[in-house]
Amino acid sequence: MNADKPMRADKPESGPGDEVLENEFRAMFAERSETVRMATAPYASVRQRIAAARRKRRLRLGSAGVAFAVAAAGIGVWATVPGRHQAAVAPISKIPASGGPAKYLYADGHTEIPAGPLQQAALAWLRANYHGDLRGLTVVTTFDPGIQAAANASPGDSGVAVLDARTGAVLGLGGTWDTPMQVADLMKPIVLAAAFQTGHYTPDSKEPLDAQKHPVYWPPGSEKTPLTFVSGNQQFNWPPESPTTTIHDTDVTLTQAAESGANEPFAQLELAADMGPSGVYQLAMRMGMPKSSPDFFPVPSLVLGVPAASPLTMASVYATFNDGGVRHDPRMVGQLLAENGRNVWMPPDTFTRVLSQSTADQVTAVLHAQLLNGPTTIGVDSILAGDRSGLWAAAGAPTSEEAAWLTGGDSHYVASVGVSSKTSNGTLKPLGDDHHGGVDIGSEYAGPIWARVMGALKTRD
Amino acid sequence: MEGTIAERRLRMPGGGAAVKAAQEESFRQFVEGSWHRLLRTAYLLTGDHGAAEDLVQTALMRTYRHWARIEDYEAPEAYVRRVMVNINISAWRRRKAVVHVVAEPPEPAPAAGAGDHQNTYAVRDELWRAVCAMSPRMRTAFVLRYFEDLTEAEVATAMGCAVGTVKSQISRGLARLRIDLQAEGSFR
Repeated sequence: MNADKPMRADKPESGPGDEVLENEFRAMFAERSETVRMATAPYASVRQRIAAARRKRRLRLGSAGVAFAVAAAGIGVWATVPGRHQAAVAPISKIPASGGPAKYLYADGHTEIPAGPLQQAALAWLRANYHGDLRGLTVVTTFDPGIQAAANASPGDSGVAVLDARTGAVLGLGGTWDTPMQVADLMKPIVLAAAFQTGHYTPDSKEPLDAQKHPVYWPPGSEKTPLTFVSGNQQFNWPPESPTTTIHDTDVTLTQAAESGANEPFAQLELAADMGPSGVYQLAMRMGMPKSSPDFFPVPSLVLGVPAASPLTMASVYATFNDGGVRHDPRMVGQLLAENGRNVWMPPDTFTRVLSQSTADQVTAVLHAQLLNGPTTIGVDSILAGDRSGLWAAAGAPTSEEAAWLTGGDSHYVASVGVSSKTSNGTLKPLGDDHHGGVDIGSEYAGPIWARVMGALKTRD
Repeated sequence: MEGTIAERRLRMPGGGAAVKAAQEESFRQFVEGSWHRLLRTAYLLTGDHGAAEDLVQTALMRTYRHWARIEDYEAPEAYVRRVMVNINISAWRRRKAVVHVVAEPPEPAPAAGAGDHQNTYAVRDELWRAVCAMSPRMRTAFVLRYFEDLTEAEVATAMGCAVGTVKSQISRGLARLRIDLQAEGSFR
């Protein structure tokens, strides 16, 4: 019987037997309800559910969390719950004025930086990298006033970090540039880089789009048991997808996969026989993701961007794509000058080749296509068409929507924007209504800020 | 286990939604007191014993989060019931595969039953099967109206929809059943 079949437009007549029928319903429901079995300890079972949900929430895994637990349980990697967030850069602390530098200057060498978060950032970086006496010295930072103004002008709790990719010089830091947030879809270009590095894949390599038709397996040799996750009362093949991602049972190129924002092609790539989460993990670390990042493990859920990192960290990770695969450690100070102007110290330019030139080029080509063709287009709406040719970027947001990212650049610069919002007692809250995360959320919230910063960079050159 | 949760709560920034010991106790009493009623309603809403327990536990979990405010309500049970209705309807929407609510097999007719008794059981089985085949919204409207005995306005509030919607769901369901039962009756 299909009670949902639409009836005629006019109201169905109520027959004389309706009252009898209603009473039958009442009696039927009363009888049926007596067949329930009572749990012996209802309160205990509720308490257990609450405790289990708390554990999951503490790990900030969202809907991918169960897949993570499922996968990790199989591998036995899951050990202890990681501690609270650890800053990717040395933690900022208040330094007494008498013990530190006399003056802070922008990169131009004469504009002074007023006391505030920018000074504190430079000082923290300095104390982590220079162990001499700072008293009375003038710190010439790498910050650019114009870029800094653009980084600062972002609304709400947005974190902005802008780097010169060729040198690692930090040009601007705004808002919550130091706050770690779940990187979500920003992990996918790193998976691409790992794949291209093997030499077995190109942006035109194909992977399936539909996880329900093409399950993934981990570890190798377990081909009978696909990775799955539970949503509602049902089990699905992992990975979960954002409801705004259109899924067909088809194979797509990696470029198309990046444009679509789908997770499955990247999961397939990450868990391919010649790849593996541990390769992606190693590469992410070499590209600049600290080993101590929250929730950072070599497990299958890595592709979903479970770990948290700050905008500054992600800017420096992505800068590796710009500079032909060479990583520079971020630098906030250009020079230390004595009172008489004598040069005291210049930080060395650290660089390590992490990717081949062609890998880096392939990744930026994919991200260029993603920026112009995918949901990330919101990020470039305000940028003139003529200025878009050199740009590339990745966007994303975790399922919880507690962060929204857009990170990318052009041939010289990288800007990483991470938007979040805190409730009055300091916990992160979702940015959007739907709690589905994905590339479109990232570009919606972080895109306009990124576009403005890229605009300011353009005028600088 | 209690101590660990309390410790964790104290370490959270701003204390999170700290439920103090007294509230914990009142929540426990509430659960123990209302569990069986909620479970019955949940069973009728879902048509499945396992799903019913899951539904009640989930709804109570969400109630626990805001217990500080809810325990002051006139009818906290009504709040939990409303949560169950919402979860049940929205969970059905999100499922990708169609989940069929399986009705219990009909009880065997009593051996010494007169024709009337048999008819009664047959009719009630038919009603239950019909209820299981309804969409969650219609089933919810029927359960709230004829098991919880809410007025149409109260049903509308619990379901978060207009009173007209409730009326049409009920009248459509009744009309359908009337036709089916009359058709059945003609064979008896």
